[in-house]
Amino acid sequence: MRVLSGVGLVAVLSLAASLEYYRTTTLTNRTAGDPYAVEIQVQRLREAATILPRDVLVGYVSDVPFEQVRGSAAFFGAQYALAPRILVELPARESTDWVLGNFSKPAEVSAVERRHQLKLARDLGSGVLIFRRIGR
Amino acid sequence: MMAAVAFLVSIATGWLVVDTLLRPVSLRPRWAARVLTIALGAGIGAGATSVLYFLVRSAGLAGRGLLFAADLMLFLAGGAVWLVFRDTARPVESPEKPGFRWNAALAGALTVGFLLVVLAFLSNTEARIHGDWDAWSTWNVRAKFLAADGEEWRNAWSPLLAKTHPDYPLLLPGFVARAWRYGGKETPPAVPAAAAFLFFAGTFAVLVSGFAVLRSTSLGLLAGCILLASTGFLSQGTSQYADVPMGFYILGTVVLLSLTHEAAECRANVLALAGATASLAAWTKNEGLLFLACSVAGICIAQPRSRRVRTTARLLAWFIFGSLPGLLVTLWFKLALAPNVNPLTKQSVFEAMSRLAEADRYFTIARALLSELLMLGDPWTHPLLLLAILAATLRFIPEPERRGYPLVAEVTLALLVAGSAGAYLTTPSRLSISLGRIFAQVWPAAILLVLAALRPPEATTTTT
Repeated sequence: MRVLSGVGLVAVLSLAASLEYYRTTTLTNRTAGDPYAVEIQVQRLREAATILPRDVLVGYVSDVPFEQVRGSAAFFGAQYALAPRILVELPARESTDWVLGNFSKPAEVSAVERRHQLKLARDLGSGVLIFRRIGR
Repeated sequence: MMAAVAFLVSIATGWLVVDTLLRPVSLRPRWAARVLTIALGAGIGAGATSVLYFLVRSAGLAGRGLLFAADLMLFLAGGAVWLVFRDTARPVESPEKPGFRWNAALAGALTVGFLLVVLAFLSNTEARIHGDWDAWSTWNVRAKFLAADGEEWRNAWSPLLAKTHPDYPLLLPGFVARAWRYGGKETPPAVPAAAAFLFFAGTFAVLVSGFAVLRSTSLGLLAGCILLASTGFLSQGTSQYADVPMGFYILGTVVLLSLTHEAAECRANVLALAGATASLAAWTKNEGLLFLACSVAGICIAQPRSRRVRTTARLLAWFIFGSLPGLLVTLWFKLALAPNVNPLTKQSVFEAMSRLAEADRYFTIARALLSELLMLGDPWTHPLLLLAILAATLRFIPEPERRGYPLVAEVTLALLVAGSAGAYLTTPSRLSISLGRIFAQVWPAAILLVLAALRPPEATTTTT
């Protein structure tokens, strides 16, 4: 009897844990499914992925600093969306002819161009800009 | 569709290898033997095809046709060996395990629990199809590099990716990239999600069936119940990180090392398979190399003193033989290709040793470990509570009866935990961030070892 009640209790508690896990998981996913908006990043950068060459280093500028979670999420999300290209944050030691601008609000394009010696090549909307290096 | 074919080819190839090597062992009960063979085969097949994909790409062969041909050759080689040994393999009868009267009810509860967890898995995948943070920032992005057409595939270990561990081994990204290549140029996010499910379900299947084979069906089912109550582990399952695959290979190795006791006449086969799973752990994550070293040490330490040298040399030879494909490709990657960006290995010995003297590091690690342990489950259904209930009702096996039970698995896991603690103590990076993942890696194997010390319910009901 002791064994049966112990084993039965474990089975029931395990089932209860699975049920609770299912309940909390589905509830959480309904309210906060994709906290870093990775799918949105992938969609935003879909056109950029067709423009940027696949075999070059691509510079990266943003108005959200990498040190903030939002900034690093945006950077890694863009890297994920644009792989196999490698993104390097500007200013960088490596030379980058192509630069991706990934902005959360309307960018001051001329300031970005001046700071990094760039020229806007395409504005793809939703804060996605493609720059070229001046003098190339 | 073609990605599904890639998965099936992997699983079938792995099954051929595992079935060929385990068939002479004649495991009981039969259902558990079949599940164990398929589940281990799925993981070993995934690892073997990942290794092959890396070698094919390293040889400069990128075409889909060549990839198919390489996979087909591996599959046919496995099939040929399977056919040759199909009739010559002589089964060694092992005794049928005694049954517990309530096994059907236990199996029913476990099935319902597993289905609920699968539904939660699907919900997580639908909400975060690209996985959690490290999935899209580290593992899946590297799979995208590896799946690239040209020389950009080598970007997967570029030093420019220093923020996302370009030195990590490539089993999971390689397996995902191979499935993507099967399908063409697209990289659908459903593929890494399916890979995550393969390893998650595989871990569950190896734990339940492995334990059923090693001890009894009832303890196997109870082990599954404990895993389903480990909600911290379940969350890792859907994250698409490499920790659950790593846990799969650790568990597989522990089950196989424990099986060497059951399969006294076929130890070479089982040890070769254990070597393969341990080496695939090394091809999965950096900690896997530590685990492989711990397995070797475990085999050496756990042999009886009277016949230690000779027996150990023979057992080690088979273990290392099985580990060679995974080990060699891992060493080549780590020594010749990957940049040294790991803060643990970049520091000097003096720096590492000086950290050992910092008392607060011990407290930080202990606190984080305790916190992660508590987060492993919900308070009223915590897996430790469930284990305590089982220990109280089933009771521990007295020491004299445990004699002969393979120490090797226990020693290996103990060494791994000690080694991981040493790495955490000396690492210059943040201490708490990845401690939770250690649980995903060792928890399934730990459940197995804790339950192994208990009497099976059927033995207890007949003796009380």
